[in-house]
Amino acid sequence: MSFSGLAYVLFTVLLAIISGGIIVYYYNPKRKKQIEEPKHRMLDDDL
Amino acid sequence: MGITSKPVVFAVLSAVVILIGTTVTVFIPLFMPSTQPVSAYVKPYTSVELEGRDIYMREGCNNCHTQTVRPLRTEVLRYGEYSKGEEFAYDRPFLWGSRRIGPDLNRVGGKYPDSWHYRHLQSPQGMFEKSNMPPYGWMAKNKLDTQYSYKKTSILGYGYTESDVQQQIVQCRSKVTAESYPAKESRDQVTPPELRNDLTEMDAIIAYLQKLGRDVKNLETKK
Amino acid sequence: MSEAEVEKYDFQIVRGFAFSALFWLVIGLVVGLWIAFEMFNPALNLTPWLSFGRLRVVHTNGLGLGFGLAAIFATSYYILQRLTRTPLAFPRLARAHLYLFNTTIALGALSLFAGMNTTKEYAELEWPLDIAVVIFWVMFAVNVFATLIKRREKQMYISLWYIIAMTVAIAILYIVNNLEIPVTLFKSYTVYAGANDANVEWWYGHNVVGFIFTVPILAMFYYFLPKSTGLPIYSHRLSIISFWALNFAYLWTGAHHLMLSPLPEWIQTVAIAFSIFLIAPSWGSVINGYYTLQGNWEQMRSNYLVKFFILGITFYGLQTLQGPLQGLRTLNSFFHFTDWVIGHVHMGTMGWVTMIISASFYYMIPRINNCEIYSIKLANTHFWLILVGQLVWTITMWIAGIQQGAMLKATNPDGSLMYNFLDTLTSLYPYYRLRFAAGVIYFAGIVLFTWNLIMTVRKAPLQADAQPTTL
Ligand code: HEC
Ligand code: HEM
Repeated sequence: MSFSGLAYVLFTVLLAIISGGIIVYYYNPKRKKQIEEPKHRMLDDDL
Repeated sequence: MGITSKPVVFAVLSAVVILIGTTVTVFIPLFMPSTQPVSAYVKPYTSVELEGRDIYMREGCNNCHTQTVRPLRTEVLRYGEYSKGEEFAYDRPFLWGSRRIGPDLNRVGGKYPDSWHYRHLQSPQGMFEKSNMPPYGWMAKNKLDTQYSYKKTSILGYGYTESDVQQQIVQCRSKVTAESYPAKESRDQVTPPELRNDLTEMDAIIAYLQKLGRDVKNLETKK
Repeated sequence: MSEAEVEKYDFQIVRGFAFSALFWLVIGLVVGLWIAFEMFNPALNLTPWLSFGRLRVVHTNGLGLGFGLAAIFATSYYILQRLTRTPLAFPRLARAHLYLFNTTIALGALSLFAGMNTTKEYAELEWPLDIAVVIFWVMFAVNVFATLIKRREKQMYISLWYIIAMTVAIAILYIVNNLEIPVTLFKSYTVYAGANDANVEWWYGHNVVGFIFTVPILAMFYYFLPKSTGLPIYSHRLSIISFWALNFAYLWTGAHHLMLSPLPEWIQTVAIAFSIFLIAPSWGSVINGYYTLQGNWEQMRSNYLVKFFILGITFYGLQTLQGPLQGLRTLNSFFHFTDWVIGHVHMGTMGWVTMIISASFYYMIPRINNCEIYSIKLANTHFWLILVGQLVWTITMWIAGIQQGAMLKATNPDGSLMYNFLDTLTSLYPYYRLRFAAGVIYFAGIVLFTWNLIMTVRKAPLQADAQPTTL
């Protein structure tokens, strides 16, 4: 494979890994309650 | 607890994320030779052509006309040789445009005689009844302002001296005001008598239109 | 919150920007109708100031910078105070922001009429006005960050992320693309040349779409949809993923406006790849919107605001499918430079952007005035007029674009071109007439919108300041 071809592939893989990491972090059931909290709190921001 | 409770960190992180793509696709290419090719055939605009270009910008001709021919068969058939990067080395700003209400103009230089342009700019509808191009006859009633011509070319780094610029202006004026100017009749028709011995805005924009793509034509004939 | 803690939110500034937005909206649309007419009947090019080339820029800047930015400032100042549960940090600075903003837009319109035009799309203003834009942007940013730092609510809700991203991104984009060397007070030259200038301009141009017509509109969507339905947004974590993906990917895609141009090919190819990727984060928001209404779809009928939001996000979803397709080389070689793209643009602006801003204003303005909307019936009529107007408008332009693309490419059996340029143009005039008519319908809807909000505040003048934070 050419150098540039390889560079494209590696870059794509890198991005996939980073986004995978972010998804796994935020979709961890352990954090669900805490992460989802603001969406309930915003509903009564005018109280 | 997470970055969503740290606004400043959040802003900095956003900036970093935004700057990655920017750096790779815009900042780095700014310094690469492939985005700024040059060619000995492509010459900077003369100061009168540059004044014409500024009028083109002022009138927003770029809202209807593009200046970039794509490497597609029908496009080359319609307009001529496709556009190359080096042609635009002196274009600040670029005027490629994004929309073709009118035809592409990147190869219009030399396509018609000056007389055609005087008549066309004066009244596109006079020439093509159904054209929607605005008439620009009033350009012939405005004397060309060359007060800043030298300053402009020096900002753009065209390398002209002040007397070069004066000479270009005088040369163009004597060309269009000469008795022997082939477009004399149509020029006189649109130019009010008191300006016939001066350069008008219309003279300048025509000089500019006639320059478009000329260098490439020279290059092609040389080949 | 106890009585003692109740402080005054600054809602006057919200109203100031909201009505500035409406003013520039009406002006921008009148200019739009004028140029739409000029396209099939050049008789309206009455003076240099009214010629198409100059007017079109007044239209795009009046609506993008005037209407768009003012609406963004209005809603941002509102959302910011609500979500942080904190009054605006510097109300007087915000007032100065309002005055400077309107002065800049007014001078901007006049200078464009007069032909002071840098020709860089959506960055046409000359350098003194660029400086004014940067100054009012900094004023805005100072208030945003100061209020965020003082905030009482620990975690920032989605809308605040989008407001932050916009504030940061537009600052970078605007300054980099507008670097120019002055010749006189009214004329300058950009520092970039040729292909580089094109690349910088469309990196800017595309991301103005991203960070003015997408990001802050999403901030409104994510805030006002839950507020007006009483339903929490479907998924906060989905929005986190789409937020970062969108911010990352948008900046790579500018060159899809420069397909098959002399710009180096790899930049174009990278732009295509990221354009396709953008479908994912864009549809993250679309899905989040639809799922929020899960089980409560009857609100489409019972709650007059919901249909604005749902149609708006639907047009956003269509845009973000159409856009990546347009970016593909084969399709782009057909559609680029044609009216198809104009259809794409206006489904975004007349559909998505205006729908969301309309509903946000209908929610917000009565609340800051402590009153009811003047007429829900009028709001419903407004909805149908702008919906029908926009659909007829965009579909007409898509068809026109297909016809134009096909005619420009048509060849005879011997390989010569079948149509000369003028024939391809004049065959579009019937579409241009229809587009003008659709524009009139849309404009009528906007007039009702403006009227409705004016009557709303006339019924309940100036209660904003006296009003505590409760409603
Ligand atoms: C409303 C859109 C519009 C604007 C603005 C406009 N034009 Fe045109 N132009 C056209 C159309 C349509 C044609 C084709 C019909 C014709 O020749 O009149 C055309 C044709 C031309 C041609 C002939 C091209 C050829 O190859 O035959 C030239 C040269 C030209 N325009 C120059 C200009 C200049 C210079 C300006 C600005 C001062 C300008 N145009 C502004 C629409 C426009
Ligand atoms: C995933 C999202 C999107 C992608 C990938 C995308 C892609 C594109 C492409 C490729 C073009 C240029 C077409 C051409 O000139 O041939 C374009 C033009 C445009 N788009 Fe989009 N689009 C997207 C979403 C949007 C949205 C949501 C809006 C507005 C709200 C919008 C507004 C515009 C505008 C204003 C232009 C015209 C630019 C000009 O030439 O002046 N786009 N888009």
